[in-house]
Amino acid sequence: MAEKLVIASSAKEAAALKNSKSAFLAGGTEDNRLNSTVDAKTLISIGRIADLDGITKKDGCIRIGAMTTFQEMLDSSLVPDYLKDACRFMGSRTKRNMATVGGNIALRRTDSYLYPTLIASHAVLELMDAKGEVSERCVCCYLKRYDELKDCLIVAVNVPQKASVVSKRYANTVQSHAVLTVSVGEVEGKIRVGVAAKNTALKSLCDISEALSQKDLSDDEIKKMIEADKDLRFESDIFGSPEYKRYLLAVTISDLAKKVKGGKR
Amino acid sequence: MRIDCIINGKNRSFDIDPTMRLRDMLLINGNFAVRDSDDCEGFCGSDTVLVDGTPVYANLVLAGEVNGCEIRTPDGLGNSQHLTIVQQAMIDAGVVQSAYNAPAAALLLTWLLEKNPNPSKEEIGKESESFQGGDQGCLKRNLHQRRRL
Ligand SMILES: Cc1cc2nc3c(=O)[nH]c(=O)nc-3n(C[C@H](O)[C@H](O)[C@H](O)COP(=O)(O)OP(=O)(O)OC[C@H]3O[C@@H](n4cnc5c(N)ncnc54)[C@H](O)[C@@H]3O)c2cc1C
Repeated sequence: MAEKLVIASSAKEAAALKNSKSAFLAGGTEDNRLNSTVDAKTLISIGRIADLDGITKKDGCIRIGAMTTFQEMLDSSLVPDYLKDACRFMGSRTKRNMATVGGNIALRRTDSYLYPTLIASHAVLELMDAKGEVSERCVCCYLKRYDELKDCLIVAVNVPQKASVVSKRYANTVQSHAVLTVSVGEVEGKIRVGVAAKNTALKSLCDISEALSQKDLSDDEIKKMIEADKDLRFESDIFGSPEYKRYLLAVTISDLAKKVKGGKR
Repeated sequence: MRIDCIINGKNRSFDIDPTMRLRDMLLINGNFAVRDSDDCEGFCGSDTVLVDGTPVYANLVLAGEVNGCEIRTPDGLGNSQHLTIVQQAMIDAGVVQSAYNAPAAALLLTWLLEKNPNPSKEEIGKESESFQGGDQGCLKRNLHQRRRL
């Protein structure tokens, strides 16, 4: 548990306070839980910063403030259905009232509810550094360059209003951690595949995305590309063998790609 | 830190460590119906309270975050002499399977019915998602019972 709580009154103040010994306190569903993965002496509460709230529409994009909760996204008429599908992966209504989109993105869990969808829809983050300067990065870039961006405040996430994205999550129950979550999306003619594989990887499958953008692929072709991906070194556990998980991932990508290309969201 | 808030309609002030969990602050206030059946893991739902009208898990909220807020706990519903209609319906439906989650379930059902006096089957299902395990089934049964009253 943290020893100090600071209630930030502006995004700039919050971003300037952040260092390796502190964490932002958004919904608190990870920061404050037992055996939290967040180890911080000081918590910087960002719950009272109006700039981090709100969902707006601009130039074909939906801008979602980082403090927006999963439930607020579900209740919004602006948030696209494909992102609502991912919000529903969080089973508890009360937790959805608390957990924020910014917190979910910052955590980068390998059983992430939202990441596969955000990758597949080519979501763009607005990040504020310690000097208060705001820059834009796509979620894949945030994942790749996390070490240099980890102290930035996520101000908002922008997703395309019109994108064809389908997702599939495999878990024992809606309250259980997912062994695999996969999303395939088509934005401006380009296919993108995002995957969250428990204890294995959270990433954009770039080679498969490129290939699917050019032509249709068979299950076997996808499976071979998965086998060649060094980040997808599955382990054997209660959910199944590495071979089974590769098979499941391949047939899921194949199925979702058919739906996306066939226009069935 | 001084924390001023309203708990079950009464003004309250505390001079406490702001990193204390809201549930512990409520226990100091005597709100023993805010249970903790999962050691702060955040999935059981027995610590559900309303903060400014929204259901949240009291174990996952810090005391310093509720300064100026209005809090409702299950203790604010009825008492052993005067049960509310929801609490009575829970007994009638035999919902008190888990004494841990029952108070929070009564609060959540009250909240749902205040927002929406005639919820559909689907809406009832969605609200019961906030509880873990066998309580979900009981909760659904209870709400169907309540709809018939
Ligand atoms: C029982 C239980 C099960 C869970 N299962 C899952 C699961 O399967 N998948 C999953 O993805 N999550 C899971 N979670 C974790 C959590 O509920 C979600 O990831 C949630 O979206 C986190 O958001 P939050 O607002 O609660 O974050 P907080 O707990 O407030 O913060 C978490 C982290 O995010 C950082 N952060 C928060 N906001 C920002 C911001 N705006 N900018 C930069 N950094 C920020 C903080 O510094 C902190 O390190 C689970 C939690 C519980 C209690």
